[in-house]
Amino acid sequence: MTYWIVKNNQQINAGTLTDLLARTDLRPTTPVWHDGLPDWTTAGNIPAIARAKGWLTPAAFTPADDTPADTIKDTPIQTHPATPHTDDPNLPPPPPTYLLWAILTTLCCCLPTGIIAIIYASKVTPAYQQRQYLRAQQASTRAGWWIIISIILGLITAPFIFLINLLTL
Amino acid sequence: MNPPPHHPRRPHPPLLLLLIAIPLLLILLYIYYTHDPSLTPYYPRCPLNTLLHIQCPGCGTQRAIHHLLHLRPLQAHRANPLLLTLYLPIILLHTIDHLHPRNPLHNLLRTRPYILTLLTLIILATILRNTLNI
Repeated sequence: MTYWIVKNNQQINAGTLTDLLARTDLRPTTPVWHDGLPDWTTAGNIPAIARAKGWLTPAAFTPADDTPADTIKDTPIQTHPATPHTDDPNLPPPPPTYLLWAILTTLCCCLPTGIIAIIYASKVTPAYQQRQYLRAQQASTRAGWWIIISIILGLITAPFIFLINLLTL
Repeated sequence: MNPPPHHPRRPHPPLLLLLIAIPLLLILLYIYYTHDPSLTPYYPRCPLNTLLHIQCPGCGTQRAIHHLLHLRPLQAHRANPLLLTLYLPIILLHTIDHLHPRNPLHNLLRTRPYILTLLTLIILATILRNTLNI
C-alpha cells in the first residue's frame, strides 16, 4: 500500500509504510492518505503509524469501557511529562470539546441528549493529557454527534410540541 | 490510485456563513423585540415543559431575551435566572476564547473540573427551580 503525505503544501508519494516510518520529518500532525481512506487524516490518527512511532500509550487502543483500571495505571505515562505542551508541533492538536454548542443545545432543544454531549466534552482534555489521543478524539467526535442528535431531535419534536400546545390552549 | 485533493483546515468560518448568520440573528432579535413570547403562541415551546410540566434549564429564555431587549434586566432575571448569571457570561467568554485562543483562560475552559462544575450548576439550578418554584 502506498502512503502519501503533504509537505510544504505538496502531495508527496511517501512509499510503503516502512518507507514512511523511516522518514525523520514525520509528525503526528503530518497529513497522510493511503488507499481505502475516504479523505486525508493525520499520521497521529493512523494506529499503525502512531504505535510504531510510540506516540501513544497502549491503553489508547483498548476500548474505553472494558479496560481494567490497572492496565491504565501501567501505561508508561511517567516517561512523559504529565501535561503535554499544547504548542508542541510533535503532538497532535487537542481536539475540540464543542462545550459551548453542547450547552446551547441543552438549552434550546431542552433535551437530556445535550447533557450527554457535555459529559463527552468533559472527557476530551483528561484523555489528551494522558496522551491517549485516539480516546480524546473519540470523546470529541461523540460530543459532536450528540449535539447533532440533540438538534435533530429538537427539530423533529418541534411541530408536535407546537400542535400539543395549540390543542391545550 | 491517486490521493484526493488535500484541503488544509481553515481557521475561520467562511464569509458566506457569516453573511447568512448575521442577518438571521438580527431578524430573530427584531422578532424577539417586537413580539412578547408570553403573549404570542407561535414561538417554539419546550418539549419537556409541554409533556412533563418541568421547568427545564432553558425555560423562560425567550421571555428573558424579550425583556433584555427592552432593557428590563430584573424581569429578564425573573423569567430565566440563569441567562444573565450563567449563560450570557459563558457565551461571551467562549466567543472571546474562540477569537483569541492565546489567552490565559484557554486551557482552563477545556478542563474536566470546569465543564463538570458548569453541568452541576445547571442541574442544581434546575432542581431548585422546580422545587422552590423560583
